Parts: sequence; structure tokens; C-alpha cells
Amino acid sequence: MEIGTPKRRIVVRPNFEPVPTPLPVFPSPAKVPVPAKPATAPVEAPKPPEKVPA
Amino acid sequence: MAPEEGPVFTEPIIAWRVWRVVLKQDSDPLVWELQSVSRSDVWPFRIRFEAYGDCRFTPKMIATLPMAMRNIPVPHPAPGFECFCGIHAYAKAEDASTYLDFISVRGKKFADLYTPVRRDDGIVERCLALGRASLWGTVIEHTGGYRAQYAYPYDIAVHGGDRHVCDALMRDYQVDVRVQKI
Repeated sequence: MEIGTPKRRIVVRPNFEPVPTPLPVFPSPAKVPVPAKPATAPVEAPKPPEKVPA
Repeated sequence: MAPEEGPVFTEPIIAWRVWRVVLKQDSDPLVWELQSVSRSDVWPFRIRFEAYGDCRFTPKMIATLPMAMRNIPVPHPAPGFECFCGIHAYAKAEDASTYLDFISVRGKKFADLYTPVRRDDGIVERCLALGRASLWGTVIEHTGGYRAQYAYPYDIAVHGGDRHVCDALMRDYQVDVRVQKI
């Protein structure tokens, strides 16, 4: 590479280095546990309210 | 010749370069690296590329330089004002493009270095790239370019490569990369 003759010395002090920051590494998403169905007796249909004798 | 002391900048200098793009052996997924054309130094991913702390020119190499340059003390911190050491870059895109054309033509003679090569399976094994680099640290300004202490690619145009090369370079260097048809 021919870049000619040297002219002057420059000091370049950037506020931050122009280098991309390392890619963030995210943990693999944890599986959301599926709530187990409670082992309860089958739900009975609600009984109709008893008629109160007049 | 005593160096003229220049100003202190707070923004990196953006200048033009040519790189070799070389497929890293046995990489999976496929990885291509930027290498300096003349020395084959690998430019690392997401870390600044640094000129050798001390210029590695040996006294024997110094002896081959023009007479006016033979009094360069060795070793000296890179880039030395009167030496060739440091990371080279052109000030103008046209000069970098001319250099690319020069080594591409030369590549026809020295095909093992510069001619784009594909493997049997079509994967690009090596090609060239033209682009810009950020320069900082101690920088020697020349009439047609710069020699710097630190550098990192700014953007890259791949000559002789394809979309796979571009995507991998973009992924690993985290800079803009495009294919330049030749």
C-alpha cells in the first residue's frame, strides 16, 4: 500500500472504542410449567335450589 | 525529520482498506475472517486489531529500506513516524480501489493469494474485500492515508464472495457487509 509520505502524528482518543459490544447471551427460556389438574372428584352439576313451600 | 505534532481527536478516523477474506478451516458453522493483504494477520471479531506493540522490522529488513530510513531505531513503538509499521489505510476510496485492482490483476499471476477461489461444493474459500476501517490511538497521517495503532472494520464490500460470506462476516464482525459484483 502506497500512502505517501508522513505528515504529522495525530492522537485519537475516542470516548468509546468503535468496536461492537459482545452479543448478549440470553439463557434459553425456561419452560413454563403447566399446572397439573387437581385430583378432585368430578364436579357435580349444581343442584337447583329447593323450592320453599309457601 | 521530526514529526509535526498534530491535534488530538475524539472521533475515530475512518479510512479505506483492502482485506483478504479467508474461510477458516474446519469451521462449523462456516466462518470467514478478514486478513491483512500483505501480512495475513487476522482481524479478530469484536476486538480491536492492534499494530504490533514494537515494530518487528529486523535490522536486516531495515537495511533494505532507502538510505534515509535506515537510522530508524529498532524496536520502536508502532506506528513509528519514519517507519512503515502500523495499520495502513487510504484516505480516498479511489486509492483503495486502485490497490484492489492492482492485487486482483497480480492475483492472476499469484493465484494462490488473491484470486477468488471456491471449494468443490461451491463454498467461497477466499476472496477480497474493500471497505472502511475506524482508526484510533496514535495515528501517523500521510499525504495519501494513515498508519494507525488500533483499528476495527467500519463497513465491508465483498468482492468475489456471495451472500453466505456476507452474512457470516456481518454476524461475526457486527458491521455492515454487502456483496460487490465484479
